[in-house]
Amino acid sequence: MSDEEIFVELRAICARILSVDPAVIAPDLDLRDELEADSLDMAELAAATEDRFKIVVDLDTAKQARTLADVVTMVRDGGHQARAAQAG
Amino acid sequence: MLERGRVAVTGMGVRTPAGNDLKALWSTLTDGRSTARTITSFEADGLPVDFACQVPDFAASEYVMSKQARRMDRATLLAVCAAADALADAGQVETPPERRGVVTGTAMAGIETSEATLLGHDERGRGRPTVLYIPKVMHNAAAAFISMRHGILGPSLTVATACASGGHTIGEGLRLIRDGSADLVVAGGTEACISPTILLAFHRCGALSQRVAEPQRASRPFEADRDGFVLAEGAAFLVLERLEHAVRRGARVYAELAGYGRTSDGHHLTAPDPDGEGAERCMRQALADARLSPREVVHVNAHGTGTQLNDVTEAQVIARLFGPGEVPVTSTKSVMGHAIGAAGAIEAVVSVLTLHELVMHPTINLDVQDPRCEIDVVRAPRPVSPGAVQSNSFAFGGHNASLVFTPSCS
Repeated sequence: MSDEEIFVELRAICARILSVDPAVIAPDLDLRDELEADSLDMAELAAATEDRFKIVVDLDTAKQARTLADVVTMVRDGGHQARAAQAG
Repeated sequence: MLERGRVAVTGMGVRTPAGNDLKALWSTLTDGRSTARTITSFEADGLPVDFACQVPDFAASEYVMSKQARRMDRATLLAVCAAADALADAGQVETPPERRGVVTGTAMAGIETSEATLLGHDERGRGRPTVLYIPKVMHNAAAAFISMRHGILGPSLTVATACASGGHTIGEGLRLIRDGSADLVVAGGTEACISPTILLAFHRCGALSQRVAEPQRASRPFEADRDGFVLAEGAAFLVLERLEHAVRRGARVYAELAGYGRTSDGHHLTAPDPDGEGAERCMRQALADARLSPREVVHVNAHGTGTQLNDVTEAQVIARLFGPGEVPVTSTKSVMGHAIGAAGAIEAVVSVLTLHELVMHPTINLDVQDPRCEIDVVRAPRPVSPGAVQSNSFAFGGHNASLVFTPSCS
């Protein structure tokens, strides 16, 4: 899955959580400053990301995320970790 | 005698099977139109009881943004809308935020969220909670949202005394004002418990009417052939305000909340004490608190569930207290079923409307009265002379609440 494909999936999830039009969400939009995402929203985003991509997200990392680009990176890292765990 | 603060009811709001505003509610009640229907909101086929009293046409979008609505169970949504209406009905309040309080009641809180999360997801017996699961199911969710929405910075409480929760919220609100903790309290109950599991659970413990062929005839308080209550949902909130403040700001005072009684049967998990000792003490305590004698009561809004045990016990208590047939009694549950933790608050609103409109609404489905119930049950709308109205709520667990409202005479 490309970064762009991951972003599109995350954007749909994020739009549902924040009850906003997906079109307003750009990869580097600050979700907290621009869309008033709070700690519950970011926790929902992390949980939904885990479910969708079958990865385990580090909660401390997830708390630091401010943009969907950050979450795409988390998915990439989480995916590596998941594959590493399977290989191990 | 020591002077204590008097408390006015200055606003009310409802979401009930009989209507989502006071006018619709009152018209359904005075017309005596049953609100029990076969359930269509979910697949009820195969359930031994497939009917209930549901809130029709409930939409929260004018009250709550969709992002906030996602954070609320249906029980909280009902409460938030009813409380917002109650505060709007009260007009421009002048109470500082720190002197405002909220008391909410519910028996089962976020049961819709619980069931959706816990049922059928995992053969290992684990649910699939979302991040929002805890804030959606916690019993105090309604109090939290109401305090945030309306700038309530004084006391917040949530009461869970099963079917008496709604009654207790209003009484505890009265106490907060009397003891000086607040000058205005938004108090009420909410319940959104019509689900396959809860229907089955109440059925299995023998509480529900099984009159599936005639849902509208099923809720039959004080009837000889009653066979249980009809499950309902809803929410109702009252704005309680220190009377002198309400008068000073020129608020409309619907009635005064003059007395509150609360006792425990200490007897059984589900059955009332057959002698009604706890219920009688509760009603007497509420009257004493209101500094009234039984003969000053012009109407009783009964708990009146339509179960064998409640109705006989309650009728006997009323007959002992006021004399057989001496005070007109009605059961709101005959029209709109039993909304569990919201019932006492809905019936408090109905009691206040009875005083305000000076009419008692009828108890429907009463063809042959149980001869053990020696009370005057109101079968058609009847004028009521100004006086006190007493409203009872008796719960599983033996928790009793009784409220006394008196006419506004500020």
